[in-house]
Amino acid sequence: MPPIDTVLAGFADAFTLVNFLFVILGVAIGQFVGAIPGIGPVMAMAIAIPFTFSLSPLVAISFLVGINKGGLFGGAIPAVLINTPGTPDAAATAFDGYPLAAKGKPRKATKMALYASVTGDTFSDIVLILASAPIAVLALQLGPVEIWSVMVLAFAVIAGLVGESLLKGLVAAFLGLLMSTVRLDPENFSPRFDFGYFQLYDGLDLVAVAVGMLAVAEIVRRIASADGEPMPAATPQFDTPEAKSVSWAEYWSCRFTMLRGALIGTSLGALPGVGSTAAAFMSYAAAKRGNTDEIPFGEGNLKGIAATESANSAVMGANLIPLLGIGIPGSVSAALLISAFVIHGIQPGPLLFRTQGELIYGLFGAMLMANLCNLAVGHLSLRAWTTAVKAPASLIFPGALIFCIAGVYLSSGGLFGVAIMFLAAALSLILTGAGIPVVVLLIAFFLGRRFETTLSQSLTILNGDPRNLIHHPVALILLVMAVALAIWMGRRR
Amino acid sequence: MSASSSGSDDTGGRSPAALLPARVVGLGVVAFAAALWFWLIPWQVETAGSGFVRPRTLPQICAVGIGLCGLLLLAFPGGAPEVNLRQNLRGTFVLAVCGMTVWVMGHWGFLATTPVLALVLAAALGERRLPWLLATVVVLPLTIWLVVAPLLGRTLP
Repeated sequence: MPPIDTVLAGFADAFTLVNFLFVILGVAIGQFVGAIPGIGPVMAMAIAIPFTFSLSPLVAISFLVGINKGGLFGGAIPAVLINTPGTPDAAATAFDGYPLAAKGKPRKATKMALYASVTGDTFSDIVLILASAPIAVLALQLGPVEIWSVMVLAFAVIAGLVGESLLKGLVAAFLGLLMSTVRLDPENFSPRFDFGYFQLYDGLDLVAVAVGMLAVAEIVRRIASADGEPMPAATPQFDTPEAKSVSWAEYWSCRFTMLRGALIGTSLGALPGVGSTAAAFMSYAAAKRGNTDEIPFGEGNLKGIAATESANSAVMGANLIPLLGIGIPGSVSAALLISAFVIHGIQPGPLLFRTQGELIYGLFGAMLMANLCNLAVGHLSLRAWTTAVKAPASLIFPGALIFCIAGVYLSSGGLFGVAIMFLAAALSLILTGAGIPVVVLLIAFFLGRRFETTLSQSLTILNGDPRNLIHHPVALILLVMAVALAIWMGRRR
Repeated sequence: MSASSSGSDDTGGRSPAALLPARVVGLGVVAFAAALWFWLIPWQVETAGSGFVRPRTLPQICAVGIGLCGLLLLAFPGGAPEVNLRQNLRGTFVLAVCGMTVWVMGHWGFLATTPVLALVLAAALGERRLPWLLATVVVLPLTIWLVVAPLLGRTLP
C-alpha cells in the first residue's frame, strides 16, 4: 500500500483544471459515440489513443476512462429511444427502456439509466480502489513461474467464457500469441515474421491492430450490411414534468435492484473476459425474478432499466482490478488502457503501486470525477444526444474511418501502420465470420510479450524441467486449475 | 444411451450437412497450423539461438496449439460460420477501396484522397442527399485535417 501522501498527491493531481476539462471532454465524446448505434466506447477509445500522445500520462488515461464511462451510459440512449442499443451492453436496457419511452416517458427512462449507470459505476470504482492495492501486494510475492501460470489461467478463462466455443477461443488465444511474436526475438534479437519489412522489427503496432480489429472491422461490417435505409427517428416525448424526470422516491425504490446489479457487475467484471453484456442480462434476470411491482418487467418498469444499467456500468471499474493488480486486462477496453500506459512508457502491473503510486491514485480520483461528470453531462446533453441518434450513417461511418486513418498514422508514424490496421480489419472480419472471438486474440496479443519473457524466465528457474514445478506449488495449482477449467468449460459448451 | 443420441449430444442435434460449414472452419484452422509449421516458421524464423526459449519456441507452441484445436474442431464442430455472399463481397470491396486509398495517399496526400474515400463510402451507404454528401466529403476530412495538422501540430501524409 503506498504511503498516504502519495495517495493524496495522486488525488490532487486528478482534481486539476486540465484533467477536469479532459475528463468532461472524454465523457461527452463517450456519451456521443455511445448514442450512435455501431460506434461504441471501445471503438472511440481505440481511435482516441493516438491523439493522447501529447498529453501527460494521467490526463491521457483520464480522458480515455472518461470516454469509456460516458459510452457505458450513452449506449442506453438509442436503446431507450429507438429500441436499438448503441452498445451490446445496453441490449437489456431496451427491454424496459423502450416500452417506457413508447408510453411517452423517454426522458424519464434515459434519466433512470443515467442514475443507475453512475450508481453502479461508483460502487465498482470504490471496490477497485479498495481491492486493487492488496491484490497488487499479493501479486508482488509471485515470481515469473507463478505470473506465467496466472497468464495461462487467464487465457483458459477468457477463451472459455468469450465466444461460442472453447476451442475457437483457444485458437484465438494462440493466434494472438503468434501475432505478438512478429518482432525481434527478445533473447537472440533475430527477426521473426518480418517478411523483409524492417518496420516489423519492433512488432505490430498495438494501436494499429486494436483500431483495425475493433473499429475498422465494425465500420466495414456496417457499410457492408447497409441497406440504404435512413436511421429511424427518436420517439416523440411528452413534456409533462412527471414524464421528464425521476423523483427521489422512484430512485430510492430501485436501491436494492441497483445494489444487486452493482454487485453482479463488479463480481463478473473482476473476472477476465466476462463482459458487461453478460452482467446486464444476469442482473435483469435476477431483478425480474424478484419483481413484486404492479408494472411487469418488459412493460416499462424502472427497475428493469436500473438493473441492467447498474450492472453493465459496474463492470468497468472491476475490469481494472486484474489489470492494476496483476497486469492482466479483463476486457478489451482494459487492454486498450494498457496500450495507453505503454505509449506513455508505463508498464501496467503490481509494480505500478510502488513505482507510479501517484499516477494510480490520480487515475482513481479521475474515475470518481468522471462519474460526477457523467451525471452532469448526461443531464445537460440528453437533448443533443437524441439528435445524435438521428445522424445518418453516411456521415458517421466514413468520418470514423477517416479518424482511424489519421489516428493510426500519427501513432505508428507512417502509412505502414495504416496498412497494418486494414490488414488487421480484414483478419478480424474473417475470424469473426468463422466464429473465432477477436477479443480473446487481442488480449493474448497484448499479453504476448510478457508471456514469452516470463516463459523464458520460468524455464530458466525450472532448469528446463517441468517436474521442478513441484517446488512452485502456487504455480502448479494455477496450472491445474487452468486445465480443469478448460475441460469443464469445454464439456459444458 | 444409443449411438445416435450420443452423436446428437456432440453436435448439438444438427445434421451432418449443417455441420459441414463448421467443419470447414476446423479444416481451415488445421491447414493454417500446417502452413505455419512447415512453411512460415522455417521461412521466417531463424533456427539459431540459445537458452530454453529460442526464436522458434513460441511460434511452434502456437502452431501445435492451433493445430490441435483445429483437429478437435473437426471432430467436435461448434457453431456455424456466418456466410453472407453479398455482405462478404461488399466488405471486400470496402477493404479494397481502403487499401487503394493507403497506396494513393502515399503519393497524393491525405487531403486529396480522403474526400474520394468518404464519397465512395457514403455512396455505398446509399446516401444521395447533397447536403449530407457535402458534409461527408468536404467538411469532415477538412475538419480532421484542421484538428490534426494546424491545431495539434502533427503532420499528415
